[in-house]
Amino acid sequence: MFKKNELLFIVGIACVALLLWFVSQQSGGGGYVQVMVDGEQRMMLPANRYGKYEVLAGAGAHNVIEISAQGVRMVDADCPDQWCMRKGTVARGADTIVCLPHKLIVRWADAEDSTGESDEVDVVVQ
Amino acid sequence: MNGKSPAGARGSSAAKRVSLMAMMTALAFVLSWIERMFPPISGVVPGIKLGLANVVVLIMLYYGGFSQAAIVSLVRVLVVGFVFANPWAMLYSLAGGTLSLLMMALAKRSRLFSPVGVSIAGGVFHNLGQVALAMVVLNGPLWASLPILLVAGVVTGVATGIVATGVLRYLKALPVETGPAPNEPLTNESSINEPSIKEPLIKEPLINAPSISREEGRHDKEDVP
Repeated sequence: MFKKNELLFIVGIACVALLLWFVSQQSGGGGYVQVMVDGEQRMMLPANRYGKYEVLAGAGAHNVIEISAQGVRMVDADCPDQWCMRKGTVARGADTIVCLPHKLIVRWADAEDSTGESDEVDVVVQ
Repeated sequence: MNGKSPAGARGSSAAKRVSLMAMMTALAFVLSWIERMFPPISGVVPGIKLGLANVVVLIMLYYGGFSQAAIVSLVRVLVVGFVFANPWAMLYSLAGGTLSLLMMALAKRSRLFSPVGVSIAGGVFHNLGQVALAMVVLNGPLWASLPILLVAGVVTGVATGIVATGVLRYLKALPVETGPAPNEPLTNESSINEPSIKEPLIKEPLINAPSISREEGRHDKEDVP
């Protein structure tokens, strides 16, 4: 079904993917959930601090993340595209949640990734 | 569009070219719409789409050349963006679609790949384009998303590539059906499509496909003179 070149191409991409996955497991798989807005850290929460947290990404821009034993997910967002919520739960070290309209990133990080700008929580949602 | 591809000859008439592109854009639009009706594969592979519309762009790349594929791709992104999505999603699509098309054109030109390989390049670079845009906009690291998106690009690229290959096989056979039109001098087409393709098509018990193409043939006769 595949030509030899295509098999090589596929194997090459698979190798790159594997390498990147390995690197991300090494570096970003730590015990913290880091929330960034426009490149600046807004929250740095330990993975075992279960609960819902509201992030105020700017005027009229709010997102709610939930940290649970399964991982982290976006439970509410008032952005127009809602891709971040479709993403579902992201297990520890696995992936990043992105809210493009709000310039918001939720990612797994290590303690040394913290920029220490703001460690406290914006709002805790009950 | 300099007639490098065998299908370049089909671009001989401007009216034909415009209507083909319009039809293909409509098809891509409908495919995008259908894809939106499926629930997102949340949790398993979030944010990953099959990219059905890419089948059409890939076909246009082979059938009409780079510029026609680019126009179809761009118009589809804009129309889908205005009708269904929002500016942000449209921007994402545009970044992915542009990089994808450029890399597909490169991959095709390299002559290393079949349409399936070209489609894989398209799928992979579609995802890379979106991540690249997101990294610029968000000003943050998104490396963790890349592995799964690369793999997804290969899988969806293979799927759309196989579909496009199947469609292209039929499209290449079409000019033979419209060919016998007496008042249209077929310069390139007749030399490219060997008579061997003609036979199975005539024998083909399929009623639908040939009858459609015969209608197109009649249409051409009315339009051209």
